[in-house]
Amino acid sequence: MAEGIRKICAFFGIEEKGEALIAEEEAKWKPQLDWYKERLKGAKMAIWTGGPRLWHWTKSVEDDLGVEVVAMSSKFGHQEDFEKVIARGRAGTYYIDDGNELEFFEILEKVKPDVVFTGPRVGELIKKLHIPYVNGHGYHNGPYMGFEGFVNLARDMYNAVHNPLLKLAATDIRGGVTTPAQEAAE
Amino acid sequence: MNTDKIDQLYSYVQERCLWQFFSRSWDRQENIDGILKTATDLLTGAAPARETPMDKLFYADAKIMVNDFKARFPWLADAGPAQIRDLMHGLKDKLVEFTITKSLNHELNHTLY
Repeated sequence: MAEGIRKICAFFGIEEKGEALIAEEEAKWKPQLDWYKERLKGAKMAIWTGGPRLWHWTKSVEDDLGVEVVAMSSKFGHQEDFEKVIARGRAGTYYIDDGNELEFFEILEKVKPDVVFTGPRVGELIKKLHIPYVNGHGYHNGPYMGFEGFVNLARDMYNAVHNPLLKLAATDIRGGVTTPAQEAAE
Repeated sequence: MNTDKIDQLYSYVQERCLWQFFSRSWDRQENIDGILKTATDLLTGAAPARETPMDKLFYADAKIMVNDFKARFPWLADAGPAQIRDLMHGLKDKLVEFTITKSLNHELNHTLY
């Protein structure tokens, strides 16, 4: 975020104004961001939102939140988008081009993410596996833009990762008498 | 000795700079030439050009990169102007090699794009 402001101000030759703005915004939002960073450090995130968001977010969440991006996917991304994201992403991360449902399930099994940022359609699949998802297209409690926006993103991620609801929903409270598969077959 | 340093600079650029991945061969080349020339000026103490809008764009990107170089690679402070020019030249060759010449991106030279 600060880098973007620094670049624009360098272009117009108003660097001092930029630094003042960055200092003001950081004083306002950095403590909140650090609170989330402490609690999100090491969380595994998958970004399945397509082209630009992959390479916008991967370094930002790594730098500012200590989050590890373990898988990224794009349906319509150009070859250029994949060049960018592979250069910026971590070694060992999976990069998926135009994945189908089965491929997504395979990747989830391999990387076991703590949260997936994706759209509502893939999100429904993710929820069936009891993995939290955040709407990476419409943004749950966005916007995710700028200093304040990144705190919104961190809060949505924190709420998703630490919410016990999905784990509780995965527990069969009937004591294992009837398995879901048998029930479905009847 | 320089090879190792060029590799460090190259890794930084690959990870952090989007200007090397523009859509066409010619604008990748334009960015690499312009930004590395401005960065060389900044690192050797020469005054970079800031007249045209393109000069200013190159300056903005080069300034961020040079500040990060200085923060991450303390050995740069000991390098003289001749070594800096060699390093930047080596970095430029490597960037051209990997983002243009050996790039697997078929859209870079596609006539219909």
